[in-house]
Amino acid sequence: MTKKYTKVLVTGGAGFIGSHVVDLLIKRGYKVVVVDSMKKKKGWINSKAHYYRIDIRDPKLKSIFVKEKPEVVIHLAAHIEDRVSVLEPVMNAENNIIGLINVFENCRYSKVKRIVFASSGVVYGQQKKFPIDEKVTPWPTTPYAISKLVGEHYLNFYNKVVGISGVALRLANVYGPRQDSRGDSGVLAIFSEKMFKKQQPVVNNDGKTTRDYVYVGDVAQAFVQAVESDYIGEINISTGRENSTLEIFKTIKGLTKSDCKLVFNPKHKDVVRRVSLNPKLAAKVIGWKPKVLLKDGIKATVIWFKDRI
Amino acid sequence: MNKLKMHPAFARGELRRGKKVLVTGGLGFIGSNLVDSLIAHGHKVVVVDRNKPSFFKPLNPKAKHYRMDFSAPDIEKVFKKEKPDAVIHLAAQISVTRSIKDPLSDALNNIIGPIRLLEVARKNKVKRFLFSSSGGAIYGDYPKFPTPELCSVKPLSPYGIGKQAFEYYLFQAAKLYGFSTLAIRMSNVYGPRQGLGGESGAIGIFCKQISLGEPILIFGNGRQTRDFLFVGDAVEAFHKGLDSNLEGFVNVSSGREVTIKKTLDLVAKAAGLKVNPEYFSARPGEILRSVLDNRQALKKLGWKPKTSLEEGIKITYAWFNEHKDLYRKLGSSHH
Repeated sequence: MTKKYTKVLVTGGAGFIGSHVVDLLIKRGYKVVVVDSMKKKKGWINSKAHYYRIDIRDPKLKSIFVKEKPEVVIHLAAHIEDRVSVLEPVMNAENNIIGLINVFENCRYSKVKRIVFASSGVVYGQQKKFPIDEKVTPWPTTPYAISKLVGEHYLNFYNKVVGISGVALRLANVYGPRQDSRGDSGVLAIFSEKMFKKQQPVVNNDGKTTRDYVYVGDVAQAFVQAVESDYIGEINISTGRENSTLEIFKTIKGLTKSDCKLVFNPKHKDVVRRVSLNPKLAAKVIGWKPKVLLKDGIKATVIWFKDRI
Repeated sequence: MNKLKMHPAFARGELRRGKKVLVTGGLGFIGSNLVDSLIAHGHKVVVVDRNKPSFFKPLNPKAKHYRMDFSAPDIEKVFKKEKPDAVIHLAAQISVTRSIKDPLSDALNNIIGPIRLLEVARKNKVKRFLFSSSGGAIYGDYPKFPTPELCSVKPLSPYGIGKQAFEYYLFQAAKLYGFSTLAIRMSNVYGPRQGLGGESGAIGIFCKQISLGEPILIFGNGRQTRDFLFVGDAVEAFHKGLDSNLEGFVNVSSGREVTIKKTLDLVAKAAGLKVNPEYFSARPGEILRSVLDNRQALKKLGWKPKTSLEEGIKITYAWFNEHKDLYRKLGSSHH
């Protein structure tokens, strides 16, 4: 891959995934502008990037685009809590649909050349064949999942009708350092923190629900390669492997030397029981493969949480 | 495949007659025809429409009108007071062209507002929620004709994206809460009271132009096709939708593919005149072919179109001709 652009604007660039993307872009020599509401936290700051604290729905976003003139936009800012979206679908859609349109409209009028959109594997819903590839019909089951699929459809409009090249990365369950342990997703972050703090973690359902866990460093690499490719469409960013919540629990328990018990919350039912996403297309079209094995990734994550406690 | 299925909670036919139906956009073209028909069939009707009643936005005297936006916070009060059994959501931003120019306001009107309405309806124990979706805008140029109920399409316009997006929210509410919802994907609806805005109004526009002796304009070569559905048949589909417990989405259309030129000839025939259209270059992004497969509607809703295009155009032309002076005043800015 070669560098075609010099300036990238990253929405949500102070967040968990976004900050890793920003770090990597800086390392690759890009000029980076970050747009982030930093609502929940102060954010992860790279001193070489330029930060604007603003909500993506804000009409004033326009002045930032006019001033900075980015060539590429990576759109990561979103309301990401799947379960909250069920209770507050309007709030979720205002962030993930209205906010996204505001970002993309600014791309339209400031002549952005490429958009990389952080979509999610949740768009697939419950499927029957694994690992899931990009050709199957998505069947989203939560407002969050709907908002991501609809975001892909808008990206397709901006591509086909407006003429901005765009790619959507359907991310599997991303984990790693800097993940927020306060939300309801991010089981690795939650388990790591609880076990270090000698608190009792709770395993939802029966622990047999599986997900495809992909390391944040690999994901950041995928974003950079997506920026540097011309591919248009949707791509899974995943490992193709399935791991149960129970396996994650045991691995972290071993690494943290925790003596916590195994406690289930059987009341919590997962609508989607199994997930693994086929990463073959990513290898073919953007030359990306996951490199970090789950055990190594968990180790890195656990060490990071240990240092912070 | 289409995810149509029956919902057991509504197998009892609770909504057959004499129920209270809240209709958003109930003063509009389809809405006002539907409200008249619902009242004629013994339903009580509450209209939520931000417009003022007028000749082109008629209010049935037996309907109760709340002049407000369906997504206004006060809508909750209307539900608490009226306790409707069913909601038919018709109010929308209807222009594809406008949605391309301003996707943000399209999404506020056609996604955010409707999600809020759906939430309020569900929390206020509404038993049935029908949504007027759009076949043509969702399927776009999907190369299969007649087009069946597809679920893996990416609509090209923000208007189509918005319609499909709200359908997803309807399914989600049906699945998670057992809220009985159905999206009716209509083809191009025409008939009396039709406005002249939007892009689907070819028949209305031809009726106006011919009745007023105006020049007749065709954009493109006239061989582009549409599937025109008479408004009376569309209204009938909503009745069937209320009476059924079908969930998911269903095409409601004539199933007949007809060219714009042929359509013009039929309007001219209804008027008893010979016409010479002027041809202009095609509008950008216009769909070349559109015809929907309506067999699921017959199978699952027991609905089929009854009015032939010839008959429907005759009725529509007579109506336009009768009111041509009003249409002259209206000009072409009306939506």
